Amino acid sequence: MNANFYPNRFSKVAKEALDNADLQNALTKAMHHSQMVRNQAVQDFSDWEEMRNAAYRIRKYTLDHLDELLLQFEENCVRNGVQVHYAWDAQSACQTIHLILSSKSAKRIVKSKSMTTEEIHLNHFLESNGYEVVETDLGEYIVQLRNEPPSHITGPAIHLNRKQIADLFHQKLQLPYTEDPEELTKQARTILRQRFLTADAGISGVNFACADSGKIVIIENEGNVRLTTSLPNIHIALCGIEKILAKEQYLPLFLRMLARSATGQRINVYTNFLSRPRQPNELDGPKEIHVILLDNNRSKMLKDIELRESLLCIRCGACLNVCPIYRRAGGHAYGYSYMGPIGAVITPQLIGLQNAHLLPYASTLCTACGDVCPVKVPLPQQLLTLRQRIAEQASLRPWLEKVGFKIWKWMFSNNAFYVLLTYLLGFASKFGMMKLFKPWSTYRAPLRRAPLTFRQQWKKRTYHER
Amino acid sequence: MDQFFPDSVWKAVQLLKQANCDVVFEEKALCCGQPAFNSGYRKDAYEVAKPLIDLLTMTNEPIVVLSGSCCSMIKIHYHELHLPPELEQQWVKWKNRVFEFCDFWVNVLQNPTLPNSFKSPLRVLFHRSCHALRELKIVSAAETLLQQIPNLELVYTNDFDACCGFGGTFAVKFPEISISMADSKLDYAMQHKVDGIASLDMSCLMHLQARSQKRFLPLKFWYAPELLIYQ
Amino acid sequence: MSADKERILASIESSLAHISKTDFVEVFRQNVPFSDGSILFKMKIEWERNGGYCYDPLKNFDDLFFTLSSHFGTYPIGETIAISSALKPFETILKQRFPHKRFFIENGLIDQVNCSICIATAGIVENGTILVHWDSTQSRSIAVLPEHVIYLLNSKNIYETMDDAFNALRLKGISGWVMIGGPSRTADIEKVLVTGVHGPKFVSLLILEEEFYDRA
Repeated sequence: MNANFYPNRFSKVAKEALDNADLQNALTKAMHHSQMVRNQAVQDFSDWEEMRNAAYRIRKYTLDHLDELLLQFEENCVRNGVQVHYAWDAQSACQTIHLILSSKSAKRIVKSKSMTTEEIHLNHFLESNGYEVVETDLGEYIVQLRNEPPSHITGPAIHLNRKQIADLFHQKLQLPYTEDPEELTKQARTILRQRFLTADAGISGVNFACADSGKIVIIENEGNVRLTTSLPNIHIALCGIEKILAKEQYLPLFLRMLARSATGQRINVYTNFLSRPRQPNELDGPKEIHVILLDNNRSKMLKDIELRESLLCIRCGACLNVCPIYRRAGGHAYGYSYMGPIGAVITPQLIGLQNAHLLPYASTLCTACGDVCPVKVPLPQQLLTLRQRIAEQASLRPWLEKVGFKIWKWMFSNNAFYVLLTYLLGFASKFGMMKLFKPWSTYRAPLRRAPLTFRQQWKKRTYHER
Repeated sequence: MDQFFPDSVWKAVQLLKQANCDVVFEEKALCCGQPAFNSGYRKDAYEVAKPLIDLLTMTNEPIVVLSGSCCSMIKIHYHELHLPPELEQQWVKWKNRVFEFCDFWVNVLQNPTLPNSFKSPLRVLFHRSCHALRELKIVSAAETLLQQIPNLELVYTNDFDACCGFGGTFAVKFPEISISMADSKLDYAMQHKVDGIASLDMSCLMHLQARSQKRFLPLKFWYAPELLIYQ
Repeated sequence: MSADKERILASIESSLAHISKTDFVEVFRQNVPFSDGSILFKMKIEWERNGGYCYDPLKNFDDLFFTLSSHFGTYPIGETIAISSALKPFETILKQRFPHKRFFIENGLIDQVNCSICIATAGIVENGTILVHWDSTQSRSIAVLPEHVIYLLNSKNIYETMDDAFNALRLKGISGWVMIGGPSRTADIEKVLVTGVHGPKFVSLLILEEEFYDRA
C-alpha cells in the first residue's frame, strides 16, 4: 500500500487534531455553518424524502447495470470524438495519463478539484515524472502549497484559518501579507490565471457521466473547472466507474440535491456539460478530451451485497458536515482521500480491511450521517457490517476486547453469572477498583454501582408484599 | 439501569402503577445485546439476546423498555442478528408491542396522570439522544410531555451535534474524541445555567454524568420520565 | 490500457452475476417551488437572488443602449469590450453609440479584456441560472474569463425548470453547455463568501423581449 495513506493511525492523528485549537475552531465554525445552510436549503422541497428515494433507485440502477452502461457510455463518447480509456487500478490510471501527456509533450498541467485523483495519488506521480502540476481550486491550491492532502470532500482547506493562509501566501509566494479573504483570493486568482493561460493540459474529475449521451458533468463554484476544460489543448477527466447515470434526464434531480446537500446552495455557480472536443470552426477549447474510467477495486465492491450501496455515493460531503467525530478528528485523521462516515465505509473496501480497521469504529453510530445522505447510503448499517467483519478476523481486534466480550456474554446470558457480576461490581465500587479501568476513568469519574441493584430491591419488595 | 440507576427504574414503575398498569419485571431479561452488536460481535450479541428473545416471544403484553438505545436495538435491529427464520417471524409480530417508556406513556396510555409541579422553577437541558431521535422518533413526544410539567423550563440543544459521544466501546476506544463531545454538551449546559440534563437514554446520561463528576460540575441527571414525579 | 477494459468488464460481470437487478427508473417529476408573477419578472428575481444583476426587460435598441450606457457608467469596466461574433450585426452601431469604448469581435482567447458581452442560450427560473453554449460564433472562454460579463437572453428562451431547458437545448442539437448561476464564488477561506475567483465578479443579465426581435 502507498505509504502516503495511513488510516490505521487514526487515533494518533485525531489526538493531535484535538490538541490543535486553531483546527478545532476552524472546523467547528465551518461545520456548523455547513449544516445550517444545508438544513435550510432542503426545505425548498416538501418532497425531499421522495427525491431521496428516487435518487437512490436511479443510482442503484446504475450499479446493477454497470457493465452495459459503461459500454453505452463509451460508444457515445467515441461518437462525440471523446477518447475513452479504462484503468484497472491506480497505477494503470497514472500510466495512462502519463502516456497521453507525454505523447503530446505536455509539461504544464492545471488541475481542478477531484477526490478521485487524490485516490490514485496523481499529483505525486506526475511531479515525480517531471510535470508541473498546479491545483486551481482555491482550497486545493492552499493545501497543495502546504504539501497536505485535502481535509474535506468539498472544502479542502476547511481546517485552516485565514491567518495560516495569509502566512502561507506571504512565505511561499512572497506576496504582501494580508488576512482579508477577498485579497487572498485575488492574489491566488492572479497567479493561477497565468497558469491557466500557459497550461498544456487540464485534468479534472467527473460528477456525473451520462451513458445515453456521453456527456460529462462537472460541478463547481469558482470557475476553475470551466477554465481547466476550456483553455488547454488537452483535457483529461478521471472518472470512477460508478459515476455513470443511465439517462441524462435524471440530472436535474441530482443537481438539485447535490448542491443543497453539499453547500446549501440551490444550484452551483457552474455546471459544466462537456460532450465533444473543439470542432474545426470553433474558437477555443481542448482539441482532445480523454475520459479515464477507473476501477480501483470498485467492480469487486459491487459484489458485496451488504456493502455495495456505498458506491451510490455522489460525494456531496453532507455526512462529513454532520459527523461529530469528523468535526473533531479532522479529515487528515482518516488517512485517505475519503473522510468522515463515507470515508470510514469506503476506505476499508478500497484498500483492504486490515489497512483501515480502525475507521469503522470511529463513529458513535449516532446515525446522523444516514439521515442526511441524499442518495440514502445506509452508512450506519455499513459501519456495523464492517465492524462485524473486522471482529471475525481475529488478528484485527485487541485481545482484551475479545476476552471482554466473551466474559460479558457469560455474565449476561446466564442469571447465575449475572448475580456474580452484581457482587463483583459491588465489590469493585466499594473498594474504588472501578478507577482501574483506565480508558474510562482517565477522563471520567469511575462508575459506582448502586448499594442495591434494582433486581435485589425488587426481590425484597415482592417478598415483603407477600 | 439495574446496576447503576435502580432509582430511575423505581420511579418508572411507580408511574406505571399510578396509571393503573400491572407491572411485571422479568428477572430473566438481562441485556439486549447491543454493546457487542455495535462492536461487531454479532454472535456474542445473539447469545446474550437469545434468552430475552425467547422470553418476549412468549409474552402477550406490551413491553416497556427504559432507555432509547436498548429499545431501538430490540425494536429495530434484532433481525440484523441473523435470527433463525421462525424467531424472526415471531419478532416481526411482537416488536410492535415494544415501547420506550415515553412512547408508551404518551402514545399508548395517552398521558394518564397529571405531572407534579416543582416547588421551585427548574431549568432542564433536554439531550436528544440519537437512537430516540432518529431511530425511534419519539423525542418530540417526550418534549411535549416535559413541557406540560409546571415550573419546569426546558432548554434545547442546538440541532447539530446531538450525540453525547458515548457510543458504547467508542467511549473507551477513542476517549479523547468521546469526552470532547461530552464536554460540548456539558459546556452548553453550563452556559445556559441549567440545573441538570434529562434524556431518554441512560447510557448517554451515564457517560455525561461521569464526565461531569470528573469536572466537578454542579449538574444533575435525570432519565426524562423521572421528572414527572421528581420532587 | 486495452487489457484493463476486458478485465474490468469481466470483474463487473462476475460481481453482478448473483445480484437481482433493479428495473428501469422513470424520470422523477417533482414539485419545484415557484414564486408568482410573469416569467420575465421571475427570471430577474431569481437571477438576482444568485448575486447577479438583471435590468428590466428591454423592448428595443434604444432601451439596450440606454441600459448599456448606464451599465458602463456604473461599473469600471475599462475601455475594451469583447463581443461574441453572434453579435456581429451590432458591431458598427455599438461603435457609433459608444465612441469611447473599443468593441471587438472575439477571436478565441480574451484574457486581456475586462468586459465581454455574449449570448445566453436559455434561462431557468427554477434556480435563476442561464445556459450558455459554445459554437463557431461564440467561444467557451468569453462567458467566464473577464471580470465583467453581460449576457443577452431572449425572453422566448426562458424556461421554468432545468428539465425543460435541457430538453430545449437538446432539441436544438446543442450538446455542450455550461449552466451559470451568478458570479464565480468561493468560501474556501473560513467559509467567508468571496465573489470573483476564476470567473467573473460581476454578471449582468439583459433580457430582450419579443418586441426587440420583431423590430430588429
